[in-house]
Amino acid sequence: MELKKISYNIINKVLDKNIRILYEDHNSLFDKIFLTLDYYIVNRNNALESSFYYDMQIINNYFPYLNSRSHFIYENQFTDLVLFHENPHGSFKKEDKLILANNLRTTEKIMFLDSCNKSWSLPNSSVVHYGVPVSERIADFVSRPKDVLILNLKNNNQVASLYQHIKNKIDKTDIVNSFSDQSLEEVQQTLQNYKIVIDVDTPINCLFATACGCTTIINQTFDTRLESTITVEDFRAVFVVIDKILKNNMQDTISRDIDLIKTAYNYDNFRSKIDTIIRKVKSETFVI
Amino acid sequence: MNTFYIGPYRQKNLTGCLSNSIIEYLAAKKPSSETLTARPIYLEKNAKTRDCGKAIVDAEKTLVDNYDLVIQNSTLEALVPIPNVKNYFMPITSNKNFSNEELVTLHNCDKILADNIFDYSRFSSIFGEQKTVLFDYDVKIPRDINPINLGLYNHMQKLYFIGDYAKNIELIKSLVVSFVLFSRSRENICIFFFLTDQNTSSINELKKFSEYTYGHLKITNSITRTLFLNANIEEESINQCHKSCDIFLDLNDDCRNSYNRKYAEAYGNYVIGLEDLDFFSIATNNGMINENGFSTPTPISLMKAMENVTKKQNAEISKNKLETLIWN
Repeated sequence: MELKKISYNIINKVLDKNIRILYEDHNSLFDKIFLTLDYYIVNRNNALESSFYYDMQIINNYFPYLNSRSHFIYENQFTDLVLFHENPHGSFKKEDKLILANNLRTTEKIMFLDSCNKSWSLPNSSVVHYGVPVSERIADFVSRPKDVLILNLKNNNQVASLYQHIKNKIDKTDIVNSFSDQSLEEVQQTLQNYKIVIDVDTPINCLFATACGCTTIINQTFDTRLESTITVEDFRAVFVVIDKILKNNMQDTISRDIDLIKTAYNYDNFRSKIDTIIRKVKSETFVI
Repeated sequence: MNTFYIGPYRQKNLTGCLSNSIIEYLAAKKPSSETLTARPIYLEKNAKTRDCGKAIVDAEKTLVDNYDLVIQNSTLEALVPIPNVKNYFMPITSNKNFSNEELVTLHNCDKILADNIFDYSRFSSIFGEQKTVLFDYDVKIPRDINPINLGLYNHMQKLYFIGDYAKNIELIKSLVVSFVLFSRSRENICIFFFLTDQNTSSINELKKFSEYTYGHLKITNSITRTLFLNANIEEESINQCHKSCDIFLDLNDDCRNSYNRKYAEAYGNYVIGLEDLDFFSIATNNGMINENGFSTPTPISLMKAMENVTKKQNAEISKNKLETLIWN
């Protein structure tokens, strides 16, 4: 244990009004949104050796808590905040859920979807709906120069194969593995070049793409209430769906969805609710 | 005035007990116009932990905009400089000598608050009496504490030690040797070691060591007079130890700490501290220097301390009540 570092963390958490967060990437467009919040946010991968101090750690992954509270937290003695983006995995057993609930009993948790909250049913959880920033100017659907963008932000080989498959038939198709070098505005600009975005990972990517005026194709059902999102359970059917979208002007449907995002996934509401929780976590005492 | 205290008060060991007593005491003495914020630090990996009373939990929930004073009750290794706020250090030390590197960090403190004479002497000799202050506080003696029934030993004069075996191995063994030598010409006296790490194999090891020592010195006793017991660090158990015995050996190797001395004194027991003993010097007994840089207490000095303990004078250095150092 580096006791000086621990002392710094504890003392500055009380004395310093600024909020300093050690953040673990979700490898999704959520990272871009989160980094727009008004805190000192340092990526965990870059920070382990740093002598900087932190008020809390924010983690997008519950797996470290299946065995015990994260070892890293014991080493640094600051509070943690765990974010839940998805429902429990299909192989997740009832016992696993009980272990997780116990290991996270004193940890603050945020669920981003109602269905997620319902399926996890973990105590001390707050539901904060995603907040998605919407650009003031969004390119028209028909004027977009490219057809399909496949998001492969978790570097999934199957998604890479799907890209090759689609690219062979639809030339104006691209794949992206990372947006790490782009700002949120640059990502918004990039997405506005495409009519269709395909994502197999997480609902926030779908919401983000819709807020950029894209029609989205996903492979699982989320309770996002977006009309322009099409669920394809079997990717052999993807060409039929792409063809149908490209032949229709989806502008009206997308406009309705953007209005829905502005209300149901309002970015300012999200900021405000997240801020309340983060300030609460900052004021909390770390107790083993 | 807004005060922020950081200490290991949630750890279930001697340093944790002292820290807990200090923060409880401060919370009780705090004027209503002042605020007291407390945050725990866990100084040891896998430390056993304890629940805290309402006063401490309230202090843990307190957070104000600005602080006037930070009290770091921690080790030299954990001490950090704090700019723009008055910074008091309440050291948690062992008997080990300080390194220069450790001492450098102390220049950033406004005051060093020592809870025991041993630390006070060490720090004041380096940083002067302006910067070093010996503080005092009270411990609560719970009502209705029953002494431990020690059977045959109830009517003997009982020396006692309280601490972890693992962290005081050398000291405990040297105390056994010293006691065996000291008590061979005395009847009606015994020594109890209350071991707070509660490890049965340690007790067996010490029993064997004690038997070996008696055998080696060719001393036979009708009953064993060196006794080793597991003890809980809970307040009630600690109080029972102090209530049941007579002469407290305040000699722990791992932590210099006034916690048990306070209770011993509150029960009217005599205390033998490092200041009462002589140690084998490096020149005469090179092999008996332990890893902390301290040599074994001599049986003669232990005997003298025993004899003198009844005549013991109070420390000449004046103590300041902790609350007056903070809020006055």
